[in-house]
Amino acid sequence: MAASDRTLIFDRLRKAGEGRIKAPHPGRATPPKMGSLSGKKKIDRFVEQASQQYATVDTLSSLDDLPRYLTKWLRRQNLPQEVVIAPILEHLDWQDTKSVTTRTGAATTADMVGVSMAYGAAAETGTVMMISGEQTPTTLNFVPDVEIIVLSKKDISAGMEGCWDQLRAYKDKTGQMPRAVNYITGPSRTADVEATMVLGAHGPRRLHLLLIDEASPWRKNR
Amino acid sequence: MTTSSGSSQKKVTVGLFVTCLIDAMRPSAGMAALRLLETAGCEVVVPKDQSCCGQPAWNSGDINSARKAATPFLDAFDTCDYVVVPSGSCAGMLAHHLVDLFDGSGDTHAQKQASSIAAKTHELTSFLVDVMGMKTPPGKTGARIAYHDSCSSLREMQVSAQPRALLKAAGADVVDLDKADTCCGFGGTFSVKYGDISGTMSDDKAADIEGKDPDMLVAGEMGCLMNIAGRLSRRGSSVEVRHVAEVLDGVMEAPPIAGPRNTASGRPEE
Amino acid sequence: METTSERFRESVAAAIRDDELKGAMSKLTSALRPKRASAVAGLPEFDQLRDHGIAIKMHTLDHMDTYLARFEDNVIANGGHVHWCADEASARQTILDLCRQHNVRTVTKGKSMVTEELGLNAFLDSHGILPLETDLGEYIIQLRGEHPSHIIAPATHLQREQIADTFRKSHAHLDADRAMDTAESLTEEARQELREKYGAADAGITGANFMIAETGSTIIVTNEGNGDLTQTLAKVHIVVASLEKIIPTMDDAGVFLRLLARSATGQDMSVYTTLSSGPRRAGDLDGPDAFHVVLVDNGRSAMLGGSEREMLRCIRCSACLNHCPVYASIGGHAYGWVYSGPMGKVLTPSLTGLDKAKDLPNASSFCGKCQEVCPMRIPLPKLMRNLRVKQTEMKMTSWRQRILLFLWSSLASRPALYRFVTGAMTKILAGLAGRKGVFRWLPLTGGWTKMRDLPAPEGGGFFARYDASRKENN
Repeated sequence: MAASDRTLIFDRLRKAGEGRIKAPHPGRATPPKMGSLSGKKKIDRFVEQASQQYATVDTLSSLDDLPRYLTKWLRRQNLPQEVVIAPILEHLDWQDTKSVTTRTGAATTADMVGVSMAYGAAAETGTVMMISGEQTPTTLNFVPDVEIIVLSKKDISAGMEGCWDQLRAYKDKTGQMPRAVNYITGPSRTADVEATMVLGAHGPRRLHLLLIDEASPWRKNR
Repeated sequence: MTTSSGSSQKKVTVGLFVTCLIDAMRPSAGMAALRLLETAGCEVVVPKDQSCCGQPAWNSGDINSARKAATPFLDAFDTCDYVVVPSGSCAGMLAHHLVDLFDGSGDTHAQKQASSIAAKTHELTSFLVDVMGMKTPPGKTGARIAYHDSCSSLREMQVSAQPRALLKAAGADVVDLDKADTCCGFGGTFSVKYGDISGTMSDDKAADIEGKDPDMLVAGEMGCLMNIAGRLSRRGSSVEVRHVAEVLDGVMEAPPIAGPRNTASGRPEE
Repeated sequence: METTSERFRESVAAAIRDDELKGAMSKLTSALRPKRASAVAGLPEFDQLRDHGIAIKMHTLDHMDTYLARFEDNVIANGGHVHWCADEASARQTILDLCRQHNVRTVTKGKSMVTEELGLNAFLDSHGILPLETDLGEYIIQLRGEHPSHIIAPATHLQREQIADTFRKSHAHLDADRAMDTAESLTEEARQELREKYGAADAGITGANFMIAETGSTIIVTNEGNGDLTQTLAKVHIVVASLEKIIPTMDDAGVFLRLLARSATGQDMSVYTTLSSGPRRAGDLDGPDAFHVVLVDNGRSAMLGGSEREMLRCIRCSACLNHCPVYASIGGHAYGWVYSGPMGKVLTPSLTGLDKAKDLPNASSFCGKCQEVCPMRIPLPKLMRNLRVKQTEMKMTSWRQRILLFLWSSLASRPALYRFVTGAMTKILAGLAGRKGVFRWLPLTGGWTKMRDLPAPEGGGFFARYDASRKENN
C-alpha cells in the first residue's frame, strides 16, 4: 500500500506541474538589521532580547566558576542543592563546592534543576541553540523545572543564519545532523486560557542564562 | 489642475458613475457629487447608459450575469478623461476587477475598453484631493463627524486621508472609530444572505459609533451607510447618517439616511 | 474528522446567541490583534521577508516532487523512515500499523491539525489506543469531547470558568477546594497531570510546521514544551505532516520563522523551535529509538494543479482568523471542520468537497482584512470568489439567487428599461415608507430586517432629478 501510494503521489505531483513555467528559488534572504549586528552591539542585543522574553541573564568570569556560582545562586533562589548536568560540564571541579550534588546525564521528572551548554545562539531574538548528543542530552532542556544554560559569547551569531551554518559544519564533520536542535527563547509559556499569557507551561518554568567570555568546550571538537 | 474662471485651458471631462445604490436610494448624494466635481473645475457628463458595474453578480460568482450587467458601461464611459465614482467598492470593481471580468469573454474590444476604464477610474474624494487638488470643499459644518472607511475604499482604493482632510477643511470635528478598519458587515448580498452575522457586525460598528458620541456618521459608501444607518435606527440612535458627498457639497436638504421625513416636502420632521 | 459544515446556518444561529463565546472571542481578538501589529511594526523588513517567503513557496510548489524526494533521502540517511499516504484512510492505517509494529499501547500527542483532519484520535481509540493530548488547549478540548476551534489556540472558544468546570469533572482525584480561578492555577494543574505521562508513552505523535529537504528535518514551532517532551521521552516519534509543509533549506526556514510567530501571536520567535532529524544516535543519552514521518496528501496534490493552488502557501499562522470579523462573531466551530476562519473557508471546501461546505465561501463580506494580514499574501477573497464561481457553474447556488441575478443583470444591461423600472419602484417604496423613512420589514429582506431597519429610497431615481435640474438651469 505504501509503495503504491508513493507512486501515486509522485504521479499527481508531476502532473500538476506539467506545462507550468517553474519559478526560480529567490536565494538566501538578507537578514534584517536586527539580525546583522556585530561586536558589543550583538551581545547587548542578545542579552536585551533574552531578558525581554523572561529569561534571566548573568555572566560567569569563567566556566571554571560554574560550580561555585551555582552553589550561591541555588541558595539565593531557595532551590535544592542538587542539579543534573550535561556531560560537557562534567570535567569541572564539582567536588570543590562541598554543597551542590550533581548527577550527569539525561534529566528525569525528579530533577528540579538542570544545567547544560548551548551550541550556538541568535542575538536577533535572544535565542539559544541546543543540540542533542553525548555531551548535551535534550531532556535537560525540557524536563527540569529550572533550566540553566551556559553560553559562550563567542558562540553568539547575529541571527539564525550563523546557527544554520554551524549546523552545516556539524553535519559535514560528523556525517549527520544532531538528532534534535532546540532553539530556546525564554521559559515555557502558554496563552491557551483566555489568551492570557502564563509563564511555565509544560517545559521549564525558569530559564537562567550564564554568559562566559572564553570559548566553549565545543570548540575543541569542532 | 483646477482652472480659474476665464482660463482658456481645456477642462477635464469626468464621467460620473452614480452607482446603482445611489441611483435607487439617494439620488441627492449623486447630485452632490456632481456639484462637487463641477466646483472643482471638471466638465461632468453623466452617461445615460449606466446602471450597474456588475459587482453583485461578480462577487456572487455569476460571471455571465456580471458581464451582461457591466457591458453597457463599457461604451457609456468610453470617451471621458476620468470615471469618478462616489463609492469605493464600485470604483474598486471598475479599477481592479473589470479587466478580469472580461478576460475570458473572448471579446477583445471589450477587454480593451475594460482596461482603459480601469486605468481612469477614481473614487470621488480621492479624485477631488489627489487629482483636482481641492483643498477646501464648498460645504461648511461644525459637526462632530465619525468617519467610516469602507473596506474597498481602504484596501482597494487607498482612500482614507483624503475625505478626512476635506471634512476637516469644511470645519468638522472628525473622530476615528476604535475599530476603524473593521468591516461594518454590509458586503453586498452577504447582508441579506447571512443576515445574522451581518447584523451582528453592524451592531458592533453601531456600538463603536455611539461610543464616540458623534453628531454624524459619514462615509463614501452607500451600502455601508444603509447598513449602519439601519442598525443605528433599530437601536434608536440619534446619530445622523449621510454620504460624504452631501456634507462636502453642503446642501444637505435631504433627511439623513434612515431618518424620519415629511412625505410632502421630503424634509426632516421639525 | 467528520464535517458539520452543512449545518453552518444552524451553528451560526446558535453561536450568535452564545454570550460566553462572544466574551471568549473578544478576549482572543483584543489580545492578538495589537500584538501582531506591534510585532510587524517592530520589523522594518517585514514586507521584504514576506515577498521572499512567497517566492520560496511558489518555487517549492513548482518542485514538490524534487524536494519531497530529497527530504525522504535525508530522513532515511538519518536512520528514520518515511511513509507516503495518498488519502486519509491510508494515513490512519499507516499510523495504526506503526503503533502495532512497535507494540504501542500508550501515546502522547503534540498539537497537530492534520491529525485532527484525519480523525486520528477516534480511529486509534477504536483500536484500543487512545492518544493523550498534551498541548494545553488540546488537552482541554479532549476532556470535553470537542474539536479545536482555532488552529493554534484550540480552546479559544472557552472562558476560564468553563475550563475550570472541565478540570473539576475530569480531575476528580484532586482536592475539591483547590484554587482554580486563574489561568495560572489551571495551567499548573494541567502541567502536574501530564508530567509523568510523557515518559510512560510508547509513542509520541507530533505534527510539523515545516519539513526541510536539505537535512531531512521536521520542525515544530511551540511555546509550551509539551511537543518536545512528547517527542523526546517516548520510545517512538511519529511525525504526521501534509505534503505542502516541505521547504528547501534551513535558511528558507529562517525566513518563515521570522514571519510565523509575529503573524500568529506577536512574538518575534516562539519559545521553542525544534528540528528533529531522525532517531537517537549512538551515544545519545535520550531521544526516541525510532523516527517515522507520515506524509499525507489527502487533497493537496489536487489543489496544486487547480485554482486553489495559492492556498498551499499557507503557513498556518492564524492571522486571518484573528482579524476576521466573521470569525470573531461566530467562533471556529460553526465552520464545521478543523480549519476555520478565512483559510478554512477555502481549505475546507477544497479538501472535503464544495458540496459538503456550500456556505463557507459565501459567508464573507470580502472585507479583505485577511489578505492584508496574511504573511503569504494569499488572496483569500479571490479564492473564495473562485469557489463561488465554481458553485455557480455547478449549479450549486439557490434557484432564488440564480433568478434574482438573472433578472438584475437583464435589467442592468438595458439602461433605459432599468431607469424606468427602478424609477417607478423606488417611487412606490418611498411612498410606502411615508414619514418613518424606514421599513421594518420587506419581502425577501428578512435577513436584513431581523436586526436592522431598511432605509427608504428617496424615490424616482437619479436621472429624474438630473434631468429636472438641467431643465432648471437651461
